[in-house]
Amino acid sequence: MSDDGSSELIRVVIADDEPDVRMLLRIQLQHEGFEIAGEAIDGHAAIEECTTAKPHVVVLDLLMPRLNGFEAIPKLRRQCPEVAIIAYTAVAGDFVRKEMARLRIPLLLKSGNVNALAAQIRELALRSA
Amino acid sequence: MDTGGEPTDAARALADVDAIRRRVVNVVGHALRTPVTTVAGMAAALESATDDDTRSMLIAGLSRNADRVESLLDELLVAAGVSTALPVGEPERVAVEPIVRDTWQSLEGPDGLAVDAPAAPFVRARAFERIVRMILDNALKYGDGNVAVRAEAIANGVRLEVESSGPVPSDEELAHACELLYRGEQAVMTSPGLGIGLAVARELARAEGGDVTLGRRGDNVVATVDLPG
Repeated sequence: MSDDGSSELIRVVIADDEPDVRMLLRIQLQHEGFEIAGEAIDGHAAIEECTTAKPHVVVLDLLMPRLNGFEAIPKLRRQCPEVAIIAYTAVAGDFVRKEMARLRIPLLLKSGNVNALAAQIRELALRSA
Repeated sequence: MDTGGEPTDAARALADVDAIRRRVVNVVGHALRTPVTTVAGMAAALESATDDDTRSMLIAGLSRNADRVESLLDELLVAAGVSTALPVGEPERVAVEPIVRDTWQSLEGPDGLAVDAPAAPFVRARAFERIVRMILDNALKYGDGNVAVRAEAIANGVRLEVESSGPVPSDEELAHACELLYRGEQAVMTSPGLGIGLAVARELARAEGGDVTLGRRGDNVVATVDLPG
């Protein structure tokens, strides 16, 4: 996967229960040149979207109702092993940091600036190319 | 007084206060971070947005999230018992059913809400709307979506009951549910909800001369709001 524009578009699923977060990420990531392959409001929908849309990366909020990000991760890894996961959360205490390190999932704090998230998406998509 | 190395009562009390302080800062930080970063992100995205539809969506989003920060701050202050954060205005006779149904719709509650509410409390309307919102939001978050609302006249006023089916908390959880930040820190960090909704509802009800309690009725949870009538 290269960034020269001639390669396949990097496809991303956004999973967050907050509509405004999903809207903002959609606008920001499209501006960065990614294709938004789907959106999900909870862990169940994230698994469904990743199974049908087969994105390169899922940006996964951790605190979601019904099935949260923590619970969705093992199911995503079993059902969609080719989809890279980025944990994207508002606050990460020791428990969250240790858990994501244990699972080897990149963890990013939600920020108004999307640069770090975009860079992480590109890195993960490159690894899986 | 030196007790030979054991922590004194004063030392334990200080440690408790420190733990509470850290917890409050953690939870408040968590609550505010999402809308604040959303505002920052939307403002930045607005600079580079070129089409009118995107710009309109972002401007509406900025306004919504700024309002949300203000509401969150108000709720935290109310839950902490800060009286200056309470709604202003004069008490009035408030019709329960339209407020319940409008709130349910705004929370995107499922069809099938049952409302039987002939009695009308005498309270500040804005306070009542917020109490109803907190209680219904709680029922939706922790129940399975089947909710029934009743309002009947009682000896000293009006009793509003919001009964919901779904997982029933333990007796201990029910007893503490209206306490500020009752949800354990790990629970706060792993699932939505801060543990302030019922505490806010209770403070608002108490400011009106009433109260909020949570109990069980068979396999259902019942939030009871007693208000002046």
